[in-house]
Amino acid sequence: MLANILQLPMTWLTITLGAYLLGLKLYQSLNKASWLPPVLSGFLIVTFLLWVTETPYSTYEQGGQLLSFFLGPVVVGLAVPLFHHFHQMKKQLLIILAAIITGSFTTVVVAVALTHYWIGIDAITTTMASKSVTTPVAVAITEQTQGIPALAAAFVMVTGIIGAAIIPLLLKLLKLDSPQTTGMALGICAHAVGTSRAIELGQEYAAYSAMAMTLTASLHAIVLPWLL
Amino acid sequence: MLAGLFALLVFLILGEATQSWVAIPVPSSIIGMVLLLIFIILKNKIPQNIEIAANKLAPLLPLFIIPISAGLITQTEIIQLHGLKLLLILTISLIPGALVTALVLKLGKH
Repeated sequence: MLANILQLPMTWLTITLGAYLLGLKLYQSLNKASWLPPVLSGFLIVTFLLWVTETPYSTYEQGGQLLSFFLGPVVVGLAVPLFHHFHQMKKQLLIILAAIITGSFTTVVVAVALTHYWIGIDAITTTMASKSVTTPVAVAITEQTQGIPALAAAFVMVTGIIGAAIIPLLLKLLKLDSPQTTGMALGICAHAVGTSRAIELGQEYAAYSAMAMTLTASLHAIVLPWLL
Repeated sequence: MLAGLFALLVFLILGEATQSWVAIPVPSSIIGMVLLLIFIILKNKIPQNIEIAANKLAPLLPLFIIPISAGLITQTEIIQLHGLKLLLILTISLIPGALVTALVLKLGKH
């Protein structure tokens, strides 16, 4: 009977929702620790259950895709914060765009070059190119460029967690820390996880981080597919 | 909320239609976003329904991402063979990115 239930899309949809809620609780009880965002704990719980029950991913996906479907409207909805940011940053728009273009492409070029020389598998290199954008956009880019969406999601998650941990420290150490520099570096290099770290640092940090994240994502989504 | 979600989906479909019509490689959801942005700029105001829907959906993003992340279970070979290298690459590449961002902003101030 259990085997039958584990075949149902509804079961895996429910398990995913439960795993997320559990992850959210864990995150809140750990004082919003940026090393354990709900997406990571939720992912760990779901993959663990898939592994224990030996459920093929294709079975899981039938339930899971009901949630993945919402990534589309979420990406479209990014136009809303983007419009707000443009208004707030009008005066400094040029320098902000310059920082986003140079900063984000530097981190991507370094990552892509290292992947190409150290690993040399095209699908992985292509996927690596989308590592600096928020997950729904990274997934959309890799689907477009024949990368591996699941791997892109993992890269983005890992980048976000490491970036949120080291970027504020690094810039403080080099005396380059300010709401604008650290906020934007977090948004550009560590996207959503970086932005939740920026919220802890202060409101001004958070505003710069959220703006940098959204601009980086839209810029990369428009430019990358032509280059890959 | 539902009217806003409806509008977001309409723009998503418009993005899809534009993509297949113009045959550009940009993801259709991003084209939908750009179209919505143009619409908002032309109106010079965000329609309330759309703002409500976007603000309600955004915090649920981690939930929507879990199923795709779980697909990693099909990529265990890559992780076993290259996981450590990939971790190193992801860490190392952050440093020049953050430095260039901070330096450009610092220099631009003067």
